[in-house]
Amino acid sequence: MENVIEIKGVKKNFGEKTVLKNINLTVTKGENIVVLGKSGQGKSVMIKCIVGMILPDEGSLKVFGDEVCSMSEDTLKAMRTRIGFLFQGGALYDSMTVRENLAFALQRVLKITDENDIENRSKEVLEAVGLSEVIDKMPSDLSGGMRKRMALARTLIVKPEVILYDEPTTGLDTITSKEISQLMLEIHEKYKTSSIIITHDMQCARITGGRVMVLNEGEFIAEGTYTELENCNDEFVKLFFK
Amino acid sequence: MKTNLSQKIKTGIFVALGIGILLITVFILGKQKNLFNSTFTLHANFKNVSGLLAGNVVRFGGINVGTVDDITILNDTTIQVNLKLQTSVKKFIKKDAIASIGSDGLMGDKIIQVSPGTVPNPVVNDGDMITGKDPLNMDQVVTKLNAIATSAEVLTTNLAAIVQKVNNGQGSLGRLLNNDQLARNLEGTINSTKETVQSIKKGAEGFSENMQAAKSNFLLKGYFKKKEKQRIADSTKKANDKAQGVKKN
Amino acid sequence: MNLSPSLNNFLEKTGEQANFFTSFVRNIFKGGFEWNEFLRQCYVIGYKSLGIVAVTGFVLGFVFTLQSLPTLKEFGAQGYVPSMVCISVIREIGPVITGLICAGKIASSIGAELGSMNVTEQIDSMEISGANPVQYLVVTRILACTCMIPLLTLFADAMSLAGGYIGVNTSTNMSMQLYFIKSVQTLYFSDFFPAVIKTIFFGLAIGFVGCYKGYTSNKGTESVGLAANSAVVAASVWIIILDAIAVQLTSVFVYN
Repeated sequence: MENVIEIKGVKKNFGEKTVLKNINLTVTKGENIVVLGKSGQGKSVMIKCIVGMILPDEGSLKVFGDEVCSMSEDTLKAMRTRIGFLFQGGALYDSMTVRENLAFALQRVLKITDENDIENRSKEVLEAVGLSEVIDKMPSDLSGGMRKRMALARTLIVKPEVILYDEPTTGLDTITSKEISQLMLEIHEKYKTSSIIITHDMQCARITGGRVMVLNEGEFIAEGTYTELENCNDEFVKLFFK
Repeated sequence: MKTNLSQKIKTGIFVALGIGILLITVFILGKQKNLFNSTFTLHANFKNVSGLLAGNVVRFGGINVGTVDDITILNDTTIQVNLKLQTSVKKFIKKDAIASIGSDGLMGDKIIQVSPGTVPNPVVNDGDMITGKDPLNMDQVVTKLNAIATSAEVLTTNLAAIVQKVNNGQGSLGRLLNNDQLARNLEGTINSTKETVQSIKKGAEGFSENMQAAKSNFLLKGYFKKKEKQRIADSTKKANDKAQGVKKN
Repeated sequence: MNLSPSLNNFLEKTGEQANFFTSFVRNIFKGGFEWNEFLRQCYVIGYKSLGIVAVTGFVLGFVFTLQSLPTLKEFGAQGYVPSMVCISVIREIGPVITGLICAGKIASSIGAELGSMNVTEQIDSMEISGANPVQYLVVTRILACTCMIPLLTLFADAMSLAGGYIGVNTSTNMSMQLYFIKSVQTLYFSDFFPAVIKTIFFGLAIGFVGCYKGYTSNKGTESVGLAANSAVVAASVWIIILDAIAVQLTSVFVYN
């Protein structure tokens, strides 16, 4: 299997504080990885390192076979178009309508100018996330669950090969978060994407999870399938499965 | 977010108006500075321009018709001033026209006044030299003021001498002001007038007594009685007339 | 570097601003200029600020005239009021007051807008999607400010003259034509152009400070307010400083 993401010995300090101590992670094509961890353990920092938003202090970080730290601006940009990133709060552009939100990256990154093409793609992804009717609304008119779906649609529209989810179910009720988790699984199967899902929501991990990894104090301390880890003896891992 | 049509139009109007104001201002200022009018140049030489600056106004008959374009020093006693004037006034300026430097009001800027010149002379051409009349020099003004001050001094000295004489009672004016003989004479005149009036009054009283005596004199009694009777008859007649008038009514 | 912490901090901020500025300049010429967003910003910054700027300009001219009239009347110089008001408004008061008003209105709104986009990770999201947030957000806003503030100042100047006309007519009767001629008769290009040029820099300062404060704000909610607030303060200070520099430069190069 081809490795899409390869992280070896990545270290990151913010001032005196060590956030990432020694991260090793390999994601193969089409793989679904769930990263579990407490708040403030550097989960978000890790995926921001992957897209080159934060540069690690040490270690190697390869995405699609290229070293992120030494990328030129253009290759970095090209790499980013192949990765989708779902922010915790959705990060919808609130001065634009849903349609403009969807078209934003298409026009600017993929340089698609054909109105019909944009329209078709928008409709397709909105249908995929079950939001066909909101295309002319403003993000502020949408509910929390709809905003998450909308953000997912905006991530999908550029047809990414890898999707990074930063706590996709935070702030949602149990039922909605279950719906979102199932949607993520559907999309994974439909678009054949690899994904890294950062969460502390066990329901989400159970539904979406292929491989589950547990992050504590800047290191991965356990990995395996959901059921394997459920029966694990490690004290810290057990805390999640209570 | 896309801009809709009305926003674009509003922005367009705003920008157009703003640029319009900019252009209008440029045009107005340019017109003041003769940038867009056709102009011609005259030269005038002065010994002293007393603070004239390039850009100062040139007037012809009190109207602003141009500006001072350039001031250059030709040699140690000659300053050449180039005047840029509107072509429309060219036909009024003759070759013997005189440019003089004055100032606009007491504290205003320096200006150049161009006189029209006299009729038999031909009209000026572009680039002609006209006579420059040097402005009133401040030094000359001070010299003149000095002369005035000197004569004023003489004048006041003489005045002081005159006043001195008057005070001392010399001359007829001095005597009039300083001698009280005149007042005393006047007082005497008034007193004697009073006495005269008194004696006239006494004379009148004496006459009145004489008349009283004449009334009681028998010779004249008849005359006075007759007069009395007549008066009584008159008044009864008048009363009767009145009574009749009342009855009629 | 082991300088004192506050000096270090100051130098760091200065360097950060210089970086931000160079990235702004680089992104102007990068191609793919966001015309639509630029037009929208022109609408928001220019057209939407016209009301407040016009009212301020009008009142300024009116009040300035009323305040000058009694004093100049004592010297019998009330005939100089129009040209005095015109020159001081066009050379100094118009640009500075408009600049300060716009610093309050525009720099704060840009600071708050970009600050909140930063907090809700919209800027990160743009960057990660491969789009260029500096080009889309910063370049358009700064350029719109740079173009619109001079125009707004011209409107304010024009309204000031109108206000001055009304002010003069409260005590005497002066025809509009005479007022206008008296106003502009002592006005020269050397009064007008330096003032226009300095408003371009005021606009640049307002846009730049607003964008910088918003774009580099922290990721907390309170930082939105902080960004807006510090944008106004910094932009106002910049306008005063730029004005002082402009006055010095004009007196050296233009009135010399």
